[in-house]
Formats: sequence, C-alpha cells, structure tokens
Amino acid sequence: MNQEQNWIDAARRGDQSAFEQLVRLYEKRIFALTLRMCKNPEDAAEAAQEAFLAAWQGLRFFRGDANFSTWLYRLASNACVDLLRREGRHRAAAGPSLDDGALNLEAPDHALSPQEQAERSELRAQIEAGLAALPPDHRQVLILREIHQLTYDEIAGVLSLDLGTVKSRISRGRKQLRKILLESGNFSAAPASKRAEKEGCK
Amino acid sequence: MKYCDDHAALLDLYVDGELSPGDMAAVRAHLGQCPGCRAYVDDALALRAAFPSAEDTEVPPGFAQGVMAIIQTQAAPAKKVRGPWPRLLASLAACCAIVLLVRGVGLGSGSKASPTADTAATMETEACVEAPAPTAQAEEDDTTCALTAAPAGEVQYDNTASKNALEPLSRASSLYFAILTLPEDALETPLLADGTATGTEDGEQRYELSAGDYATLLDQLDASGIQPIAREQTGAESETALVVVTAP
Repeated sequence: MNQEQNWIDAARRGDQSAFEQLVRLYEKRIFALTLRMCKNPEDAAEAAQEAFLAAWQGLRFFRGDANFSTWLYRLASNACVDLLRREGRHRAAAGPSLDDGALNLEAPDHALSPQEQAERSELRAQIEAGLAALPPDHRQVLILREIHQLTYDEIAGVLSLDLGTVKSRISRGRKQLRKILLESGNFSAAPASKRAEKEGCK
Repeated sequence: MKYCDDHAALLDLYVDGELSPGDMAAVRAHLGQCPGCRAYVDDALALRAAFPSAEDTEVPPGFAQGVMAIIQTQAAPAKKVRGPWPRLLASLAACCAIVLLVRGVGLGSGSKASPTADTAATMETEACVEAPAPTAQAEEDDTTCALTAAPAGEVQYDNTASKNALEPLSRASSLYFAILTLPEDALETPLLADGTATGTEDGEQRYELSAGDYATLLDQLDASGIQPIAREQTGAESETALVVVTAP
C-alpha cells in the first residue's frame, strides 16, 4: 500500500495530521485548477480551501471507487463553479484580465537554451492569456486535460459530464486557444513539428 | 492552413491518445498526406509542451496550515454576519442557557431537544447549550452555535432532530455546507425516493443529507440526467447538506 493510500485511510479515521499530508500533496494541483478558474488569488484560495474542507467533511464517506485525486478535483471544480455563481463573477471571469504576476508560472526549464526558455516563457504567457479568454466550460476541461493530465473518462467523472460533451469541449477549447495564439502572432509550432507524425501523446 | 473538416473530430482524440490503435494508425497515415491536419496536430503538441504545469503553481505560504487550523477549530466563529437578528437571538439563547443551567434543568450534552423549540431561535438554543462558554461566544459571532451541529450521519431522515430543515432558506447558508435546489422529478432518484423529507413548506420538500449521501445524490442526478435548479457550496462548517425539491 502506498503512502498516499495510508494517509487517506488514516484521515478517514479522523487523523488530522494524515489529512494535512494530503493537503500538502495536492495543494499545488488544486491551486493550478482554482487559480485558472477563479482568476484571482483570493478567490482561488477560497475555492481551494472549500474543496479541502469539503474533502475532510466527506472523507469518511469517500467510497474509494474513484481516485482520491479525481474526487478532489471534482470538489475543487464544484467549489469554483459555486463561488463564481455565488459571487456573480461569471462575466468577469470570462474576460482576459489574467493577473499574471500572481501565478508565478515562469519556472525555468534547464533542458532548454536561454533563447528557447524565453520563447517558452512567452508562449506560456500567451497560453495563460488565451485560457483566460476561453469560456469557463472550455477552460475547465483543457486545464484538467493538459495540466492534470486526466483522460477523457476521468474528466467526465470529475465534471459529471458525458464523454461526448468532454470530447466536444476539449476540441472546441483547444481550437479556440490555438486560434487566439495564432492571431497573437507569437505562436509557432516548430518545436513539435517532428512529432506529429509519430503519435499522439497521452 | 486549415485542417480537414472530415478529420477535425479525430485530431484532438489523436493528440490525446483517445483513439483505438487502428484509428491512431489511420490518422497518422492521413497526417502524412495532409499539411493542414499536420499543422493542427503540431500546434496542439506545441501547446502541450509549453502548457503551464501544476508544479510551477505557487501556493500561498501557510495554506495547508490555514486549512488545518479551520479543521481543528470547527466551532470557531464564521465570518458571515447577516444583520442583527441572528446575533440578538444567539445572545438571547445564551441567556436562556445560563438560566436553565442555574436552575439545574438537565439538558444532557447529547440532547437535541429544546424546551423552547417553538421560536426562531431553536437552532441557536439547541447548539448553545452545548457550548462551553455561551455568553462570550454568542457575543462574538452569530453563527457560533450553528457550527456546533451534530456530526454527519446522525441527522439523516430524522424528523424529530431536523427542525433546521424548516428554517428559512436565507438562514440555511450558515447551517449547511451545501444547499441544492432540485426540480420535482428529482424525487424519483433512489436516494430521495427511499428517504423521508425532513420538512415540507409551501409544497417544497426538504431533506438533510450527510456529505456522503449528498455525493451519492449528485451521482444519481447525473445518471438520471436531472439538472439542479441551483447548487450552493456555502462554506459553513456543517457536515450536513440541505436539499430542497421545489413544488410542482
């Protein structure tokens, strides 16, 4: 049995220190979702906190027939949607006003040259801005697919959607994002051009 | 260059590895002949390569400690204040508790029944008699008492213990961690069909559910294709959710 499962089992029995380990294990992944759904750090922190508190409250009933991680993503996703709905921020969230400074997503990739790193950072910033401009439903599935690397089935489970809707939203979201990046003039597919004919990536 | 319309639906599935091996091979063969589709797949893979990663996400310092602090002090005052009435009622309830204690009226620590349950202060009274220092706590915040509600699993489908379900919805956000409003056809879901409403008001049926049953109900609603009318995650430190099924 792995350490994470030990923590889950202990937390289900009421062990707070085990649950804290789970919070620390997942906090980055949960914030990666809530930051991009809520768009400002305060709301993201509130949604992430609600998700973890809901997890603590619901853990004793967690049946284990879904991954703990996907269950947590579901709680976080619900918390974001509920927060946006409660605060009436859907309209604001759809705007391109991403607070890039708060995200601090510019970690260097040491396998790249300085110039490549600069290009990657530029593209990453464009992706963040493009994501911010997408409708929340499309942004949500792309985040779960690209950042959390969930399969279509897992995304369907997290968001309680049917598989066809997931396929449709990913396809539309990615095409919209590509269009935004192409129109920005900073998007070049050169780094991946050799890979397209090999195979798709999970 | 634009991708082919007849392959548009397959390209994302290809990029995400969601096709069968045979279809993967077919798309790969097509990419060798179609610059438009190849450009789309190239772009999608470039996007993936540059996509932000969760590990790069900065979490506010002390976030985990903050979550744990809330968990450790689940009876701590909530932040929401909704006008003078709850505060006044809480103070009144605290006074009642003191009087009852002084007069030696036994209200065991596990008791959910209140001798003055016919007022709007029922919830506050019930919870405050269990609070260790009712006067000070009640003065600090109006929802102190609500947050000392019984743990999940002890109040499901219990008509006698669920007066909260008859409280006005405006107050429910401090009593329940979630409030779900459903159309009438939700009564056909197994969980609600097998359960007993904890309250009825103007034709509305109200149910109190534990977190586990709440999650189960959401799954059953999904499976039935029933869309909630409204769903609110209140942030209250309750372990019970309120489900309201609207009148026909």
